[in-house]
Amino acid sequence: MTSLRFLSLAMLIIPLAGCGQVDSWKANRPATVSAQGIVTYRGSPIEKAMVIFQPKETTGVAASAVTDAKGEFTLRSFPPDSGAIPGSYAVTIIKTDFDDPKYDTMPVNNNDPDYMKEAADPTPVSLIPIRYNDPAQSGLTADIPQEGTTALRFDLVD
Amino acid sequence: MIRRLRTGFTLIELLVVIAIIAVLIALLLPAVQQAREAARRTQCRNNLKQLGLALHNYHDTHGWLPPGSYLTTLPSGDFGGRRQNGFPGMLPFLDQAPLYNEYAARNFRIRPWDNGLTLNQVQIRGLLCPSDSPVTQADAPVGKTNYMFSRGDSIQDNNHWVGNGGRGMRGMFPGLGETALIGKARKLSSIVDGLSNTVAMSERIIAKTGGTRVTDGVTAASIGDTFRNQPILCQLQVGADRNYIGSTIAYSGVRWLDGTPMVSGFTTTVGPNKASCANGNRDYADGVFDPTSQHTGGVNALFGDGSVRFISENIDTGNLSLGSVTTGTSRYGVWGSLGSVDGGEVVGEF
Repeated sequence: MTSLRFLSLAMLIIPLAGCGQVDSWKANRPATVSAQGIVTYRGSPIEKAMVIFQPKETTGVAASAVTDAKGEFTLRSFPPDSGAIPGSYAVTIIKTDFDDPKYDTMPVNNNDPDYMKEAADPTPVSLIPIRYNDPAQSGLTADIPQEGTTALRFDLVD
Repeated sequence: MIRRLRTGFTLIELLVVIAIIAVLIALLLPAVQQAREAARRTQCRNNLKQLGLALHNYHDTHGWLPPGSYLTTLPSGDFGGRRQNGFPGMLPFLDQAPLYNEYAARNFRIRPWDNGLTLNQVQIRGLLCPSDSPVTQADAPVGKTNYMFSRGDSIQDNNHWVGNGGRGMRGMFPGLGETALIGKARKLSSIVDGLSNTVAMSERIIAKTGGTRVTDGVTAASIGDTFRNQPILCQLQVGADRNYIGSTIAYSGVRWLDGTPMVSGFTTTVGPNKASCANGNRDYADGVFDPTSQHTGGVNALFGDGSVRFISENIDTGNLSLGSVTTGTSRYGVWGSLGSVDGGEVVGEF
């Protein structure tokens, strides 16, 4: 009788196993390592700054992150999974006021018949020098070593 | 000795039976729900397949593919145009000949956003993917569409038309100026990357006004135009919970005849089921509008040869820290290569 109970229990549990598929795209991705760091401007950490790591090769995979309240970020090459591919990168950092509530009050359904009239859309204002938005001008570079790093640091100045 | 007769079940026995039944139901319910979603996904694929047949019949009849959008100046002189997509011309091949005749009688010169026009209010069932939750947008009672025309891997100026800037024309359905309507339209023979390697149509979730998540079909607005050179910025508009950080606008699929890329087009850049971003807050803005769906793990896509395939949301998207190209190999990996009609890329298994 006891063995019968165990058998019926096993029959209930076994179908639960065997779920879950592995995506071939995910399985064939390049290996990533942990890559973390901090962004400061005028000596103090900045929040909600966007950090973009542009690979040196045009066929490489870029990595990106947003800084938290302490200015710290965790790079992601394949979001939402954390981790970046080792290599050398040109770095851009973007910090605008786009999360300002003033952008939330825009008209939502403006069926404007004058299609190409470039109306004055509110444009976010950069809160750091604009050169940091361009990988060619930012002057920021970084190497992510094979073993990963937690010491990436970008101190932005005027 | 009095022998007690057992005439019923004990409480324990009843509880055990109930518990077992509860476990069985708990096991069964997700399976039933999955089977229902599988059925909806199949119907969603079938709708795309029908659109593929309609495209080929259109090509047989006219000798070119319908435009992604085209310019028609209204009799009143204002711009009704650059705004109508390929659907009105495809109507006869979607069993909607009477509706086509109504539009033809107006020379197709209608404003797609005209809520008062009865013709615009028609909802064609075949343009709705049953996996997407039904929407009612009170301020625009216009027919909706889940199915979108490819603008390829172009980001900057993908709202423009042939002869205006020359950018944003990498997909199977470019925008057309009225004078160029016939001469510059794509023919199947001009899709040199191969019909089975070039995506024609795909799906996007119809936008829910006030939505904040990717699955609400909304688009991030007014994040500046830097993302056109670094589309990876667009991915940073959503957090790990796939909630948008900043303000959003709701235009995806809300007007079935509107030809702007945000309303009835899609791009092959950041990958399926990722964030969408507009350059500005207008419905005609250019930007990143990759396919989205409620299916688990990816989206359905119709290819030039009429086949419908499921594209994983983990598909290779190449280097998203570079702007889109106007000629040559796509920078956005396999996904970008599938979007361009003449990029010359070698596409492996996908």
